[in-house]
Amino acid sequence: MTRFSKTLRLLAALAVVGSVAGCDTLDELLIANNPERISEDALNDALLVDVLTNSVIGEFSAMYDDPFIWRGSMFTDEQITGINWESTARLSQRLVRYDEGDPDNMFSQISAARVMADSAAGRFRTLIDNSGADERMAIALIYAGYSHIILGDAMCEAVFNVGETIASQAQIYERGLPRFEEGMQVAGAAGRQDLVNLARVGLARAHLNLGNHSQAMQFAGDVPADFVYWVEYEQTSDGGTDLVLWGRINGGNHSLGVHPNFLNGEFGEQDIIAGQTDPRVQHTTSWSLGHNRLTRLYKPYQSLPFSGYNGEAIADGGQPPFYQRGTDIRMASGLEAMHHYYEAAGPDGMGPAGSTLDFVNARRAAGKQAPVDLSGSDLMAELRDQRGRDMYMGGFRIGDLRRWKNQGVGDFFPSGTHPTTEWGSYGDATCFPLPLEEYEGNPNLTKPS
Amino acid sequence: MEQVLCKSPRTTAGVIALAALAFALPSALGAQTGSIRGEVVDAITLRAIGGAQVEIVETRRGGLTNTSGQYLLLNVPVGEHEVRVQFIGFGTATQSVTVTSGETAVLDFSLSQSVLQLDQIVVTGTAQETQARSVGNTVSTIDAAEIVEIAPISNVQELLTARTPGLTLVANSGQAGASSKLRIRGAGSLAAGLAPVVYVDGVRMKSGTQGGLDVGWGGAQGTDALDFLNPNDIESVETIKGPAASTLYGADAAGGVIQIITKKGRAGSGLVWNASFETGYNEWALNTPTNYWRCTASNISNPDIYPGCSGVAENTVLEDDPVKRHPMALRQNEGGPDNYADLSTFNLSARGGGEAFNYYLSFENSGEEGVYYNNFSNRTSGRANFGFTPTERFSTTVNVGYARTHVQMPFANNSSNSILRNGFRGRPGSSPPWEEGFRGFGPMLANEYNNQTEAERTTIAMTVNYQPTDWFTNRLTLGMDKQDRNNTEVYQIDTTGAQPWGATAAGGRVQRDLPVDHSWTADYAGTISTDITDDLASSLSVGGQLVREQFSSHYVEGQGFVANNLNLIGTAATTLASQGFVEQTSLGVYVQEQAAWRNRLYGTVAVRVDDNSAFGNDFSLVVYPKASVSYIISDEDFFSLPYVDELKLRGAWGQAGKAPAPFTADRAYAPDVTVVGDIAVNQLSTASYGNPDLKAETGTEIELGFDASLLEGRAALEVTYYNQRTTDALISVPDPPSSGFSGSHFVNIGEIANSGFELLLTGSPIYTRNLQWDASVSLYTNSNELISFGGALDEIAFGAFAQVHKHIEGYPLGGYWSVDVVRDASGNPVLTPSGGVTVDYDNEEYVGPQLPTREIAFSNTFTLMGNLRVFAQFDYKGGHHQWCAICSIRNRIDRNSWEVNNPAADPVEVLVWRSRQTKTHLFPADFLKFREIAFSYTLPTNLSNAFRADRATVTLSGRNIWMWTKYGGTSDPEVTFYSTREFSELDYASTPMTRRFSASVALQF
Repeated sequence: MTRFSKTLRLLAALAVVGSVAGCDTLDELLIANNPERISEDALNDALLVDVLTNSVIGEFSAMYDDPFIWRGSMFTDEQITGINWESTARLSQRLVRYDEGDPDNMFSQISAARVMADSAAGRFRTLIDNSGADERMAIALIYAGYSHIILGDAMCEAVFNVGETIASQAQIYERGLPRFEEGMQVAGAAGRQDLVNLARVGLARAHLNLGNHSQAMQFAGDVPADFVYWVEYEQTSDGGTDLVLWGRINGGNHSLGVHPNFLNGEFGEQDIIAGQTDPRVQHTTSWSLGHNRLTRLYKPYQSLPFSGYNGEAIADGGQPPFYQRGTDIRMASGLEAMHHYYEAAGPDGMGPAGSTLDFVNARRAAGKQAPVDLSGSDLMAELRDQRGRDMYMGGFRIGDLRRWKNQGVGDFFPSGTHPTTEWGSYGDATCFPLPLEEYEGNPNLTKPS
Repeated sequence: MEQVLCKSPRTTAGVIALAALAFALPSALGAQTGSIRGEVVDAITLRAIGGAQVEIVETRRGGLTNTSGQYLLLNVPVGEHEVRVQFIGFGTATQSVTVTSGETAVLDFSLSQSVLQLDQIVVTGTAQETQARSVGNTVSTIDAAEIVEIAPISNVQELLTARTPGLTLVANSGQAGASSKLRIRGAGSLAAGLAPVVYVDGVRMKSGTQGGLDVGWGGAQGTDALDFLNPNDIESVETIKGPAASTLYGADAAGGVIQIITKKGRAGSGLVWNASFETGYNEWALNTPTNYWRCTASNISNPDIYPGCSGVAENTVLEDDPVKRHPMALRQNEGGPDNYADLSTFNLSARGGGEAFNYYLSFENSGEEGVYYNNFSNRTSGRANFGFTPTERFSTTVNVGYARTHVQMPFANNSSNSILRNGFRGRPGSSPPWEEGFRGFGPMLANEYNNQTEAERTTIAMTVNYQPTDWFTNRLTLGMDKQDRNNTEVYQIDTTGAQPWGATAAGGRVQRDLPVDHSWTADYAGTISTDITDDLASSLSVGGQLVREQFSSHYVEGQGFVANNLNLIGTAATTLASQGFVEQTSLGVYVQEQAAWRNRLYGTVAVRVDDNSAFGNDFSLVVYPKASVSYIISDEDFFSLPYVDELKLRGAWGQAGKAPAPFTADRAYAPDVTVVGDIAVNQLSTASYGNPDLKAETGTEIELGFDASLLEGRAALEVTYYNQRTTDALISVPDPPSSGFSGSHFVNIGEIANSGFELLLTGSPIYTRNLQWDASVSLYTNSNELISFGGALDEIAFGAFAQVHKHIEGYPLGGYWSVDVVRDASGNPVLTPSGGVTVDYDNEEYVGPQLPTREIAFSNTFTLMGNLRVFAQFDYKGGHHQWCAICSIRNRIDRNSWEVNNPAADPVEVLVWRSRQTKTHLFPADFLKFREIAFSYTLPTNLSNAFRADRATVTLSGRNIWMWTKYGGTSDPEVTFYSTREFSELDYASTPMTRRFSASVALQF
């Protein structure tokens, strides 16, 4: 036998051994465990219904304090920021670019909450035997509705599920309505009155934004005055479930300050004490420079929408609390419902809290303000002022300012020279544009030229 | 007899003892034997050549010459023998000698210089150990042992810098212990990583930047995974540079392969001890920017905010350089407790072998302080390499490396709390938040930052070579690389009430990140060699490679100490924990056929088939072919070119891949935690969008070139042209947020091109007994272009502090793009009604690439009188640009630059400087560095012997001595910023490469 033929034989043998042994063992060798992840297919498991319900709540909580409240309120007169991240800081000037990160943060995180809620509701229809009377189904539906409200408040426009239709703000709100309605029905069947009221407040809010005043009054009027539903945060946290606003007012690099419009004194003044009479909007008496070492920041104390609110005013010697890691935020309340009700009802309205003027004066009393005797547009202006105080930093201002501008009530967005004068003037943005990431990742859209 | 043979009695004794041992067996068997002795010298200079390999051709038994160039072979069977001598840098010489019983034959050799080494054995990119003459692609070899001996080298990064054309190190920072990014032949991938894969003795090693606490976001620099290697343990480094050469490494190797070969013992050589001690210091080598502030009337009237402007005239310009002024900012600053950033290294090694075994043992302890008070890098390492050759057909090696490293990194770059950031951004005269002249934290606070990484690295490489017949060889390599790291960050209890480190840390905080990297390599190659005819030979190889990599991590944190010394996690009021785990397996098999015609024309074809656990479910195997030709045309009778002694023409074409990261193909959700009813509960969050069609990128490359020996072996020229195309390039496409996923996913749609030339000219312009000048010049060019996004994207714009980078078709990856202010037809800025300027975002202008397009390295070694050696290396990189983000920020936000404070400046131009335009902050980054210099003096033998040493060398050396640059920013154009990002590069409070001076003593016993 020649060496060459030996070679051929050996090769043939190797090929046979390799092919027999290789195919079966190859896949086993290549198995890689991933204990950090669960595949999408595996979510269709009845054992995961509770976890998915938690996920609906968790995704909503995660986006509610930031980006929705923190970044959303930068467009408004609730806060100014001293953050050093420039694109985020420019939000405080009402300047925003669709190809920078903040619109992506806003849209992606709210969408994450919306998709989680919508997909959970879709899965629950098959995973839960009697989903029409199951509180978990109600939670998924109602949170889906609220995700649409938040999306509508913050975004100029939106796209759903990698679709091709760009929905307007009104269309976003409208898309939330059937979710609330079904959720309210399911919650009622499940005996969860708190969820029923949560849906009612959501419906009232959506209808108010859509200009459907009678429906807004109808749903808001059914909400008990003492109803409160919370977005919860955790005191002991690794940074994932605590209140982001807590981190924004603490430490040498704090970045959140009260806007001059809500300040209880002159911007730039130190030792503001006497003006701090309304416990609903309180702040540190003196400013300090935060993260950017430029912007003067009066750190806000917990306002009424926050769980630690104690109703104490500094002018009275009180000590309102700062945000804590585990401070919760009102997601909906009877007080909010009443604001929706009386704004929809107008200056001559009558409702569960009496006349519009009665309600306004009740709110003024809560702020240790003297009663007023106003009517017409003056009364509505006062109602708006009380709404701003009652809901300060609670996640309503951007939606309110947009609604009032869109519905011709007035443009109350901050304008002129920014309190950080070095930055120049305010821009004119009122909402977050659809981000570049959606245009680039969604094959059904074309990027604006 | 011994005294006659050797000037050093100890060496002679060692040689004789080991030679006797090596040949003891034949003697014991009673054969008739004699001896051979002689001297090996340089044919021209007549200087002795120590360390040359001397062997009897038939038996392949032999030994090494001593430092005097002498050898002695005992117990040589009587009769005629061929004796061969070879040494790196010289040609091989063979002579006949007749040995008679009981006599000693004398056989002296004089070797001629031969810079080109076509018979050199290479192991990288080939199925088996192969002579360089048969390889159709370029294999760059660094003679690490020699370089470490003559140049100031303290880690692998310095060893690789500017020594291989086409291999670029992009430095992330000049901090002690900081990493560099390795790039070979430009940027061939957008998203699958640009780094080559690294092997040590055939075993895959973790390489590149290692994450740590605060590293991911750019607040601290990452450590370098290859820093565990003691450069003194490295014999050589082989680099193959692209798919044309790296096909046999499969789906990970499109970025090239670096093979580090550690020192081994030498069979038949005596025991040789080497010891060295080095001491020196690092220093800040550049100017720092001066901060200015022009006092306005408003400033003067606000002494609370601008105390420095109080009482001065309007427009008075204040100035400050806090980084150089503050005693605690840099170690070398006046008034501080320390004037030097010290460094020291101690090395001890033993190397030797007998007839059937060899060994190399080493120990090293090194320490280096950075220019900041909270920056150091220490390493203690050991290596034990054993070789065992019981028969001529069987050999095995076991190489074990162990290292402990300990690095402390300061806050830097992107951190708001770093010394440089706050020093460069300070406003003279303004009321500081913490310390005079610093924008944020001053050095006293910044130096409190305590971020340390302790790592323990164990590597094992076992190789078995078995040759059952003359024509069948087998090589099996099994290896493991394991690294345990302990990243720790500790914040003491805040006693000031100011909570400078944030509320979370105010009560004391400790974080521990405990990652474990573990990889296993199994590599088999079998080769059947056949002489088909007298002229035609065949080598058929089959092989396979399995690489399994596993990463696990545990993160624990404690918040709220009882006391600062009670800082274990469990003693804290609040404890947190998390865990991570990733694994990936790649498997490849290959077949290679190499045909050799008359030992001068070689053709090689091969194909490798790969699978990888990271590929998508809808994708299976990938096939990579290669083909190459090598032709030693100078062996032909017809060949005749003046001054050309040897000429090898070569060409190679091949493919290799770049696999995606583990699990990126899967759409998946990750566990998370939320709060329901005040109770923490489990939830799921979207994690990865996935792509079931995901596969590896394919790199295809053609490489053409020649290697020539010139001027009777005095010079060598290697020239290579490469043209590389990456197809199915992984493009990171944003997850559409409307899907509920955020982040990005990969699709295989891109196409990228790289091409250029490499040249290496090595030679000895002066070669006399008393003066020798050895020089090498390497040149490298690269043209990089993104050919296509596959229609998925128009561009990807990114960058830190401004979107100055773009991936855009027709331009280099991550090239720099600038924006200017709106200007009129005359080029003057157009003012807005309110008197400002507007940035013209609609008209972006291409500036240039971010990676060098041309590199030149020029190394020189001057040897005087055989004893005094001067080594100098110059390193040029150019054609690229750098984004001086800190310049922009200083002008725009801090307004503390001279440009915006110069009272005589044009106010409109000041507005331009203060705007968000980037045009004036993007600079050419060409630089020329006097990288290394070393003066070494080897003591005369009689003086060395006074230390009981065979050889004693004293060296004074320096590194980063001087720089010329076009760069107009604040730092070093060589240094970038993000250690963890491939393309986002900038100068933002980046620590420049430090200047280093050291003195060392090396002894050989």
